[in-house]
Amino acid sequence: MHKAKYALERYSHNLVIGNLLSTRKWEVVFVSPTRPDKWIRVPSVQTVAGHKRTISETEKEKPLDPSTLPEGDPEVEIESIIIPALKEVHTAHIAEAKGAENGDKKA
Amino acid sequence: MLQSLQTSHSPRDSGSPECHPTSSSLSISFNLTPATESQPPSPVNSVFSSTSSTHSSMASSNETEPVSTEVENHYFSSNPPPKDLARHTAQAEEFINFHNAANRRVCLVTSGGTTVPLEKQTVRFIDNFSAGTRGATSAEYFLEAGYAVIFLHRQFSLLPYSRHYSHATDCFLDFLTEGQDGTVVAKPEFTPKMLSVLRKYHSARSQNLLLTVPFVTIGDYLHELRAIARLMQPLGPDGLLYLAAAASDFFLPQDRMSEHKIQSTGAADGVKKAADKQETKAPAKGSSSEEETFDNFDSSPQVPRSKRLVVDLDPVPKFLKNLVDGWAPQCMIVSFKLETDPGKLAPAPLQSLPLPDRVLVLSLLLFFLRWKKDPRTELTTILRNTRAQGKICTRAVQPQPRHR
Repeated sequence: MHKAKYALERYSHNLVIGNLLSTRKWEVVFVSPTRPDKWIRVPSVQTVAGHKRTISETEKEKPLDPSTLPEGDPEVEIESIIIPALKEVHTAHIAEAKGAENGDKKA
Repeated sequence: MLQSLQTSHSPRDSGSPECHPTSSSLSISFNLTPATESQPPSPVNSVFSSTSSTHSSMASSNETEPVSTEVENHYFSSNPPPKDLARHTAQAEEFINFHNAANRRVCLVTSGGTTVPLEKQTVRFIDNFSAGTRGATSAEYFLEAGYAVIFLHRQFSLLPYSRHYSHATDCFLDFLTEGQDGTVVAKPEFTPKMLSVLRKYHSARSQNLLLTVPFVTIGDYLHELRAIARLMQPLGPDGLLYLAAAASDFFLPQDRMSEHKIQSTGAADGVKKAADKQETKAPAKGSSSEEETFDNFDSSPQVPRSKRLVVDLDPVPKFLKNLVDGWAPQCMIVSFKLETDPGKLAPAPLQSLPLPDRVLVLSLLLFFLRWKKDPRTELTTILRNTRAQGKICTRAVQPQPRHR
């Protein structure tokens, strides 16, 4: 995550999406200069024991342990969650840009 | 083939503009003779960004400024554009104007790995690990979310929609069977999903919502990216750049690239230009024992240097800042950062200092709850210290009941 932040500081673009090779289909983290980090995860993960569970609150701020993930791919493609979340961020970006434009430009 | 690989921090100042004096270059040595003793796996992934990781592993330290116009111009003039750039640019311009007129958001999705050719008439190249899954999948969901999508992808990597059937593990022929009267039909068990995918694909195509543009090399990719990003300027904030391609961090400049296939016989002669150090080391053949003992490459001492191929790579200029500042300044830009080490993604609360206080405290609390036996002791100490420095406000010391 700090590498993602480092990238943001260096390039000052809008968003870096951090992901781990072993868990990239299960979770990613949105790192942005203007808002808290946001973890995006597929709705449920299985434990090693096979219990269906949703992620508890405390786990939300910490990367998943790859060894607890089941074999294969998740039922839900994580991009189906990433893109709508990103669309919201983009909507805010547009609103902000248009707002700034109206405030700055009085031609 | 790839036997060993190492980064050298030689203060090599070639004087060429694309080479920062402080930057580290990369040397790769290929062992062209079959190794009698196998070596440990080479750390390829630490050198080239892998799937979905763009602009990772920083080659040099001082890069908060965009690459200068001179360096940018030099890079783009010394590395030839892909031959279809003009055609792609024309297509992209028409596509962007069409959707801009319709007031639709446009997303440029980059996807797949980039190659680093070692020869101008390329037989050998270095590649990145990427099938293009993240990019192709994301493109589908961008289309579903109402975006028009320019899909800038590595040639033959996965494409939106066809990805469900084009991969070697899902060969499309396995989904088909022969129907009556010599027709070809989908097997019934696959029909529902196939119909859904087919409808979405046709819908995107018929409404001109998807433009696919291929690239192969890192040079192709950067040329295409710059050209298309510039065309996106009229979109203003409605434009989105989603950089999921695995862009190479190192490349072989044209002036050091062999025209023809590098020969395995007399390999050192063939790439003499590529290794500055070797130029001063005269004839490769009949090499003295002194030369062999002076070898500082991490390769098998059983293989004489004259039999190896040593490739010296320059860092690819970090153009992301140019993209942000100059190519598409108003568009939203999203990049990916891929790690293989969970520690790199783990909460690093002390690095979160620029964030609002309450977020910092939350991170600290969670961090110690997860990792320490008694978070309160740790937390109290840290809070006392940071508060003393005026970095934290008292109200945040008590963990707030969390919502959600």
